[in-house]
Amino acid sequence: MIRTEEQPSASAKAAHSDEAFEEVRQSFLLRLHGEQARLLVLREALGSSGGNTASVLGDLEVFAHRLRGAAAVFSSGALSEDARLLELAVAAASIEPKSDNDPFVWAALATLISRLASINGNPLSAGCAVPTSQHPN
Amino acid sequence: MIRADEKRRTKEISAEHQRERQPISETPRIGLNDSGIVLLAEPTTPCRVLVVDDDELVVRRISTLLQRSGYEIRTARTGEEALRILDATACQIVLTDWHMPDMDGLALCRNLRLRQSSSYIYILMLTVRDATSDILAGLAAGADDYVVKGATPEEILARLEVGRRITHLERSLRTSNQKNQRLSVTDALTGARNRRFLMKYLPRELSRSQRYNHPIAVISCDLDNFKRINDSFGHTAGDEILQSFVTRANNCLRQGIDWIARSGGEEFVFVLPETDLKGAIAAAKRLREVLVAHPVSTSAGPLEVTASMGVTALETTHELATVSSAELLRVADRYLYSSKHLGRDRATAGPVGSANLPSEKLRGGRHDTH
Repeated sequence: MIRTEEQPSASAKAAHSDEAFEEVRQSFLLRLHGEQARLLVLREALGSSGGNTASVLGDLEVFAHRLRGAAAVFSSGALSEDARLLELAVAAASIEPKSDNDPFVWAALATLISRLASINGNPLSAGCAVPTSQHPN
Repeated sequence: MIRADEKRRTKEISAEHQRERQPISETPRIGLNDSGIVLLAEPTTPCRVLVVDDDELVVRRISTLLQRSGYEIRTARTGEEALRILDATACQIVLTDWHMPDMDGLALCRNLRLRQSSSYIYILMLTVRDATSDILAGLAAGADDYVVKGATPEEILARLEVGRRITHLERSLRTSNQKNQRLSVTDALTGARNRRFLMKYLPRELSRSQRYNHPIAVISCDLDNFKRINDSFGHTAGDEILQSFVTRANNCLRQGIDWIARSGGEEFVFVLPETDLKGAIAAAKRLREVLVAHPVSTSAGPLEVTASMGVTALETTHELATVSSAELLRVADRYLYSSKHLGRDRATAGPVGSANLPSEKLRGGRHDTH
């Protein structure tokens, strides 16, 4: 996309750019609400997959990878790191699929959902009641 | 009626000559951009970056950052789309993600490196994959640099600046090479093509004529009594006559299609693609008329100049298939010698076949255009 309007002055350009950046950042923050909802859906799917986890794990990996990249670009380092841990846990679980109870995946899911909930301003709705037995040691 | 392929051919030749004539306009500058980054060799034309990422917000974020630093931006959401854009638009830098639907960043890198591109495309991978093996894979696929998402905007800009510098340097070298190439095939005194060009490009013109089965003509031309002009009026006047001759001759030819080469001191060869013998004779007549119309103004005063010419052409499929460029020139030279022998200031023309006949029959078959 090329800007076709007349060339603005340096300060006007910078101000415009700041506004544009802020607009994109707000869009990203807004998108995180959707990401949280999507992650909850994926968590539900994983819980009810009945051992047939391959498809859900694939979706989770793509989701985590995408969120990891976007968060990094928007300087949300902690969110990016949580997404990375989920991506790694899911990747490991995909290589050796055991059941829908992989404790590392559930732990990473819980952390990421909490993080999203916290960023989105609804920590109470984190709602990630991971069974104690499914926590990694 | 001009045939469609003839028109296409005419366009093709014209475009080729236009390309050779493109001026060199880029001049490196030194200065600072808005961010205070020193640009060692900022190009006069803006640097265009193609941002490739399947995440729209990431694309918008990166685009905002780059636009602020003076980059012109194109965007694509997949590798396939990136290739389509690059087919239509020249981009100096491609900044690409790794994971994308259909064609990923690695495949895009490989694809770009396999392409025959007129200029180098600098590829910067921007991805969250941060393992050493990932970086090595990215570079092996053809990326020039690799940045992990999460790098600061300053780092991304600094790395892009490297890309801008390298692509600008490559462009400067390329244009400089093109200029040197032009100079190496141009006669410095007259601006006509030189002998090297003639020897290289006449066979190519001939091949094209063979491919399309179109005629091609050459006129071998020699300025009359040129040594006497040099001896009597000096070399400066002689040089001025040569320059004036080329200027006048160029006005008699089709621009961008016909061309003149200085093949020796006062000898020239005119190459007329898409021209049969009749057309070449007409061109020679025009040239002669222009030459004798008025004397050449030189530092030694106005001087009369005449030329002798030998005209021939390849017209039939058989001629095109069997006569080489060297033979074609030899035949044109034979007709030129006939013109000299007959008293100069004239053009003698004939088909390539007649030139091999005994001299009596040769004369009978020629068209003396004087």
